[in-house]
Amino acid sequence: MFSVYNDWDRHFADLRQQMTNLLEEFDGEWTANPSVFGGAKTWPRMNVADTGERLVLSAEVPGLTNRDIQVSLEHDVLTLAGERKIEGPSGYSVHRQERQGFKFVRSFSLPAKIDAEKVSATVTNGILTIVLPKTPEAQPKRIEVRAS
Amino acid sequence: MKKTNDLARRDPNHSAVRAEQPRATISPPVDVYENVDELLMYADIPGVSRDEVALHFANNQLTIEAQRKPSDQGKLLASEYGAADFVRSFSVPPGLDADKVTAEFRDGVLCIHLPKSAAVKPRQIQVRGG
Repeated sequence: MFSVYNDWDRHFADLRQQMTNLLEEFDGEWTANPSVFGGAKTWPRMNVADTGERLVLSAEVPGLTNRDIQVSLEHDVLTLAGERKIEGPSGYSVHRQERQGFKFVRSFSLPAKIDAEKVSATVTNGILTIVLPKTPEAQPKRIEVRAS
Repeated sequence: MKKTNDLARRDPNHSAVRAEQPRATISPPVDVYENVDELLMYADIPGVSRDEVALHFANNQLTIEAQRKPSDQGKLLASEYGAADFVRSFSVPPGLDADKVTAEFRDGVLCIHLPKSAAVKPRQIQVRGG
């Protein structure tokens, strides 16, 4: 009967693991579905990728067009700003309104020098994609190892 | 149950971690409006193309489905969204004209028109003098 307590460490570790899993699930839910708690923590949600020659930022902006988003680059800081307005069609009664309007500003300090002249931004299917080509100095270089 | 050690899990680019990440299932936010002629719905489904959105309507059940592919652009430095399955189902009231349902997809927003059949539309009945 007391054998359970002899294994105290093991049980505690299990409990800890379960707790961690619970927290992770909760976090996952939060980021995957902002409507669960009535609003996103950050909007829009973004991905930042590094291809070596350029950085690629993408953001979920359903319903927005290029006119609704301002992108600016100042030194190494990229800023996105804009507004999403949700207006119901006129003459309709509302049953359910889950899509939210947002006014947003997000800034990023970029991890590499960017060629500001060549930055491009496009919106397709509700995804904003900003391509930031790195300056030649910032691109990864292959150094040849020579035999002596 | 996740068994990968913490060090590997923190690096989203680690192959073991990538393989382990489940596809998120997202129930997209939806607005529903109604007037005398139709029900009108809007759903946010960013990051899919028009061909990847499927709409089923049967037995007064409307289902929206879409699959978003994972992005393949280089090494991720930060990731707040990814591959996902969008699924949402609604029970809709009887009296809608299933053949006339139309949908359009623009800027990541799906817009569905569900016209009411003539039988349930309000009718103006003329009162005649005797």
